[in-house]
Amino acid sequence: MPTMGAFQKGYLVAVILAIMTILEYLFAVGVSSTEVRFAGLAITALAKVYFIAYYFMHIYRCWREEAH
Amino acid sequence: MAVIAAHGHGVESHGASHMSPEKRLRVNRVGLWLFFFSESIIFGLLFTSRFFLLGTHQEHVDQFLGLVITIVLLASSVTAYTAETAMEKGNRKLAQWALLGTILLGVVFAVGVGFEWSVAEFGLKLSEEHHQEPQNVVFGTVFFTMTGLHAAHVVSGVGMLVLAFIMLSRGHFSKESHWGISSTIMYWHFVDVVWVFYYPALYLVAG
Amino acid sequence: MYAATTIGGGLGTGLLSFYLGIGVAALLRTMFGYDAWDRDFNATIGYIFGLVGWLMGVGMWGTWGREWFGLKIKDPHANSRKELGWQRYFMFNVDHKVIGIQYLATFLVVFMTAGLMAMIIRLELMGSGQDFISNKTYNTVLGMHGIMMVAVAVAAVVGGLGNYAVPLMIGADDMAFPRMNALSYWLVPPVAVTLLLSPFLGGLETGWTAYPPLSVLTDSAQTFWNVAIITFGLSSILGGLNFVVTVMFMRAPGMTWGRLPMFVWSMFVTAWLALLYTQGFAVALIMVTLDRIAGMGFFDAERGGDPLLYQHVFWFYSHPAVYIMILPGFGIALEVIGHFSRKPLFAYRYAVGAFLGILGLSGVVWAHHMFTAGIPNYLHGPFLVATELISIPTGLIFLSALGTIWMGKLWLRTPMLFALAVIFNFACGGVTGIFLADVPTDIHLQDTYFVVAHFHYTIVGGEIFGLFAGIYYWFPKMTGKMYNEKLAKLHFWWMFIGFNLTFFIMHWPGIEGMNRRIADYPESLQTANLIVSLSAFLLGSSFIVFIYNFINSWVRGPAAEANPWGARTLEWQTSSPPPVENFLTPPVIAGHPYDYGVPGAAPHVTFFPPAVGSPAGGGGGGQ
Ligand code: HEM
Ligand SMILES: [Cu+2]
Repeated sequence: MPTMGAFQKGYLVAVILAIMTILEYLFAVGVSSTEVRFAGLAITALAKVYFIAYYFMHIYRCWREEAH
Repeated sequence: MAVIAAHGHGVESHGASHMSPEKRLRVNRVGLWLFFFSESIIFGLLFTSRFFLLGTHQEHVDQFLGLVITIVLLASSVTAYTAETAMEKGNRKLAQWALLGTILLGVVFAVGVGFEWSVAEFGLKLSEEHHQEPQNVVFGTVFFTMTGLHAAHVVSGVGMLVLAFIMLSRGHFSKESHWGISSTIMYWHFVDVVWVFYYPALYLVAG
Repeated sequence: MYAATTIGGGLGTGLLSFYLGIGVAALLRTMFGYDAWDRDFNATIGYIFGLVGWLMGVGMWGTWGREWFGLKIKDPHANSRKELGWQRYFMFNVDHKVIGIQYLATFLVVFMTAGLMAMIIRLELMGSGQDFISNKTYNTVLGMHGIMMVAVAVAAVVGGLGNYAVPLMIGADDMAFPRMNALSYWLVPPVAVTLLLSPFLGGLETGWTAYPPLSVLTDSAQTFWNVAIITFGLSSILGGLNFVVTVMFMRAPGMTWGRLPMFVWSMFVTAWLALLYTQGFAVALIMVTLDRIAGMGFFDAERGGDPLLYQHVFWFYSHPAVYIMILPGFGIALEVIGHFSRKPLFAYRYAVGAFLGILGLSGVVWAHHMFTAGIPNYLHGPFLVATELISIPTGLIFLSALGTIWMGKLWLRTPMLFALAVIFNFACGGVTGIFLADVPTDIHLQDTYFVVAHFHYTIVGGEIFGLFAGIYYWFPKMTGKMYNEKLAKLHFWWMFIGFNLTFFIMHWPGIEGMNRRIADYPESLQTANLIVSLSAFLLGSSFIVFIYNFINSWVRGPAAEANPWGARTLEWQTSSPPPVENFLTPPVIAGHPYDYGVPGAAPHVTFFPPAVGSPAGGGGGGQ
């Protein structure tokens, strides 16, 4: 999302995270198999962490120069 | 390893007190990430203990309340993100408002957890009411410990946000130099990351 | 005067905050409808307040805390620059050289105290039957000896020698986070005080491992002990973090990863271990504390908990912790053997790989401490194999040491003697480890003196001998004085013989099935124990020589040269002791640290512009 402004980018990520949270909730109460539920929750959690760590916490700035 | 790779050829400037501001920032940033890394092992061990003791068993919790506080915490990340981005663009007014919003949402979250504790349907004692079921106690143990440790981080995060807010209002920090705010906000996001795992582990894993 | 204000200020604010914390706890308890006073609960809250008060009182407030409120701070470097003499060791000082010496001195005192406790233990065990002390006292002394020695083993080399030498060896002027470095040190005194007070607060019953259910049920100083050890863990974690970042970012130009001295590599890997695993001990103890003071049920089988959980979490730290102990020992041994064999270190890359391999494997072997604890049988095989796999990297380190000695011109000064002893002793400790890692033999040997002999061979024989190698090696650099070589050699042989007698013979009652941690044993083991005790006294007395030599040489020893060993590495290319900023001109690294006698090898260090008064040519001479 290189052409987007910094604020918009963050809000888009937040919307994605919110949708994922709701879906995660619906998925958990809807699915009956424990294994499937566990796997689904684990994958969602990892995906959410990726979004937060990359777009909110800017982990890449550890190894890439910061743009001023 | 990427960090190591990027710095494989030694350093440009010499020594701690002669470090350039850019380098100081990088060093602080990596240090803070290592701190998160180290903290996540504490959280991770408790998370693992929960499954070690109970498998995927779970007592009844208030699903609606859980979803609401999760959304509140997510909303606080958005305000936190706004504050940091505003600082980077030099918009101090917006940053102040966003910090204030984060603080309020953080307090709401903490109060939510406290409320959750007061209505919890599990305890730390074997009771008639729960048919003397040990699993009830163990769930209480891991639930209170995990949410308690997380809430302690939320509260300390709120404290740091308040300090950052006061300093910002007093005229500290600038577009170029605001590590105090960035680090606090990174910490806040980290607390959110923990909840990303704790919420499903405590509320959703048994459906 | 300065020292008195620092310590007095720390104690004053610390005590005040302690009482404040107790009050706050009482208030909270009444608010939520409990009795106002519960010894362990109130004391825990008091301890946390007291700890913060102490830190702020010793100087963190002025140099750090004020910053959080947007106030102006004092220059944290002021304490090192002033001509303060000995007083700078008693202040919140951010100079890594001062902190290194603070750590070293503190932990030598802890080491000697815990050593005296070992003498009491051996006195009691000299004869069968109860001779000198009650069972309760025995447990307390044993527990204190254990935990204090563990603390020495994880902090003396890392905090002491590591802090002192690593920034010098990589050409930095300090650690990456100097104030946090001071913080790690100043967290230690409250820990030491709490531990030393525990006999008066109810004693200790659980040994250093604090297994539940006993640690939950016991009415002893357990909670105080828990919070003290958690604090100590925090100190290790912050220290580890600091080393990792320092080695990553503070290296002088040209100091590539392939040119790092072995000791720095070992510190780097050790720091990762401390950073990644110490939390295990803390979490385990937090769970015990919560069970004790908040009525949680982690380990209460009746309420559904599981005491085995503790052992898993605990050993998840405490096995990697044994590598936190031994890797610095290996690092010093390779460093010293490299310089004192006067030829390039053999298989440098493989030795580095071995350190990294140990880092990787150390996290997946913890259950070898639990073979008899009731873990499922299917876990025996994997943990057996994983444990024995670690012999491969360990073997590489041995090969590197032996290959360096091979055909080298050994210069048998005291540091070298100690370094060679590390290799010799650890071989014995490693071999007994194999017996313990094999499930069938371990089922017989678990919880006997064989285990005690094993870990003393690895920790004392490996790390503590390494610690002394390092102390003698860097003594001239740290103090600017030279120690007395004759006395040092006397110390070495005395300690070496005493150590090997004590712990070699200790395997024997172990194989006979003598249980550890018990104050008494059957008549039939009398002879073995008598010999072990007498040898232990021999070992213990050897430190008198060391203490005398250490203090006497520091006070009135002959002045040391900048580079008495003619070593190539950076720390020897500056004056002894080094100036506050370490190097007067920035060093540039051009060659490998161990290229002794290699034709055409570039010197390890050059200075730009060339330093006045520092030894010429960046080392390499001094055969
Ligand atoms: C060569 C590799 C090693 C192997 C295969 C090994 C194996 C073992 C095993 C299986 C045990 C459990 C014994 C039992 O309780 O039944 C043990 C105990 C122990 N080892 Fe090692 N070990 C090795 C190296 C080390 C090193 C390097 C250290 C420390 C520097 C160390 C320190 C300890 C300690 C402290 C204990 C006992 C802990 C306690 O129960 O209090 N070991 N070792
Ligand atoms: Cu082990």
